[in-house]
Amino acid sequence: MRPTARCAAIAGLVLFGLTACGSNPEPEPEPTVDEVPAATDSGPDPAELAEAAARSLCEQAEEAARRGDYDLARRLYNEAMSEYAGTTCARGASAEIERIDVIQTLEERIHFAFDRAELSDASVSILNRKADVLRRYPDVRLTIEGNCDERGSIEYNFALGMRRAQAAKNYLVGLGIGEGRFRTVSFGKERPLDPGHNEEAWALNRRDEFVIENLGAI
Amino acid sequence: MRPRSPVHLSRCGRRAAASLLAVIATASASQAQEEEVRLGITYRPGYVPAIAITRIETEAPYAVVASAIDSILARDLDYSDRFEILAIPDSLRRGAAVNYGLWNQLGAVWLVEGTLTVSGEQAILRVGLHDVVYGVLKEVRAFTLPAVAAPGFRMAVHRVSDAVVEWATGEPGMAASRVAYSRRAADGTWDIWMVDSDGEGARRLTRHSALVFSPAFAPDGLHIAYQYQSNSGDQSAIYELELAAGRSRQVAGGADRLHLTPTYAPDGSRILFARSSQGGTEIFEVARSGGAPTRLTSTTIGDILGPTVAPDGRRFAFTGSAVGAPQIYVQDGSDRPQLISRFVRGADSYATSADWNPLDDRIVFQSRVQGQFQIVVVRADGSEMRLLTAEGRNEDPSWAPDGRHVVFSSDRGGYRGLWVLDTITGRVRSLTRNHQDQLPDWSGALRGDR
Repeated sequence: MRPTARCAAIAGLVLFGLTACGSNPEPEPEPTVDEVPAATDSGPDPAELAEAAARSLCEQAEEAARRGDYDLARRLYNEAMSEYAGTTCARGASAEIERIDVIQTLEERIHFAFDRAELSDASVSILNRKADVLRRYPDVRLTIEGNCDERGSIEYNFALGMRRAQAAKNYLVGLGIGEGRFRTVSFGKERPLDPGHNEEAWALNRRDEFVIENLGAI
Repeated sequence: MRPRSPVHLSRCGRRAAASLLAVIATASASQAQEEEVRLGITYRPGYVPAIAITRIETEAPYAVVASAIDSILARDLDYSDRFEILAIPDSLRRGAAVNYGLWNQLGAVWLVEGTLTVSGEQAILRVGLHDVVYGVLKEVRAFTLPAVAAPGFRMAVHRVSDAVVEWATGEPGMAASRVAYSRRAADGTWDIWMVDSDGEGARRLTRHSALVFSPAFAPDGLHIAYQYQSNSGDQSAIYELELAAGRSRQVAGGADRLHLTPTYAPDGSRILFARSSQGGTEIFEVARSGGAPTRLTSTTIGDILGPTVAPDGRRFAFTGSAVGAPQIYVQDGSDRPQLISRFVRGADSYATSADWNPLDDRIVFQSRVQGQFQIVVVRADGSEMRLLTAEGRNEDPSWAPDGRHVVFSSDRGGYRGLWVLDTITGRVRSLTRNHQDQLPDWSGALRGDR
């Protein structure tokens, strides 16, 4: 099969989805290559179809990334690269995947023990990865938001949340990242990730969030 | 009998509850090196005199006003927790002279009677308190009242109630006062609200729809300081609301710093608050007349917040975290802070939200006792620690201007709201029934036409 025909078949599959599958007992005879008129005269250009299909994948990927569903975004970009190599979307996909990796590294939360603001070993390695990224992208700034579980008092949790935010900031500054690149805030126990009232929810809610202030710099 | 109050236990029931809870907790797990303090609920209500409140006499056109006064007075005197309210048979009307013998036979120790006269716009309520035992008129005074529909009417009658309490006991009442608090809206934002001491007239005071917490009444009752934080967290400040104008001004603020837990010095000249910086959270004070904040604490203790000033204006208590968990400390001027919440050393240790009594040396705070927050009272030197609650999760206590009642938030009875506890009898009543109400602060005595 010639490349154009293969592309057209794939594009057809993408465009018509499952409707063409198996329901018709007498499938229409597949047009032979010779019968296909010149693509420029009638019917869509297979290359354009591939471009359109890939563009749709890229748009879905961008939307998923905006929602924070980075795994889905990464999968869609990978699909674009493997299925529609050469399209605009596919050519940009590996850079987008790397960008997602960077964003995910910067945004990855760290968690704390009850009433503590000390960094665990896991938190330290997460912060080390952030520091690498921050060195590579010197224009990126972060807002670090400290959060607590629901068990303490409202007021004290604001101070504790601030201490958690500052613990992360101080560590990153200690690694040589400029202090001016961080802003620290505390939301006390007002922004739980999990509204539950159990150990699992509390562990999830005792955390620092990292908000990227100028995404454009990545 | 106090038939009007559905919440509190009968006297007999209360006594039974008190003995059941006689010993609640000892939190110190380690042995010899830690001082062990037993913590128990011990309400021992002493003698409670009976008071008879006769209907306010007036001419027919003002009967509705008189009846409104009757209800407010009776409920205030009940809520004062200083009297047994005597049920009066309808047949017993006030005669020309008080029949002390008859009232004595009915068990009354005190007798309140009043007359309402109206001329033009002026309503005068003349109230007398009789000492039935000695058979004398102890006090009598004429109070000018605003129109019954005027905003100051209820507060004016509350002041009459407080006068009766003071005549009978020599101590101040708390009816003419209000409680400010934070209420959470359905969208997760907060604003400041206020309610009268008897639970009437709840109203919203601010419209920030942001993270608005920790209201604190100025001693003049005309201002409320509070913590403001924008929903994005990029602004944090202490604001002061002028109640009459409904306007707020910034007292202290600044980028990348957290501003928390304002409170007033007793003379109203200064606002103390907590502010975070790189080194931690410390207590600052700022003059209400303006100027830069000055720091009052040093960083040897972490997470310092929630200041509350003694009546002497010199000492203050706060929450701090030097021993791995928040505790209550008292600092005298620039001296080294003293830990006063000693009993909760160990794993379960967690004490915050102190409030200094407006009249004496006692401090209330919340402390985790057997995994649950309870209200605890202690002297400023750390002695005479006593548990005040045992049911549900109880938080953020604040003293009433009478120095004996405490308002706090609680989920007792399965529903969160604000509650009022009498620290002498242990009686508890509901103040607001909204499970999003938190961080109450009780005003001082409200004087004048407010």
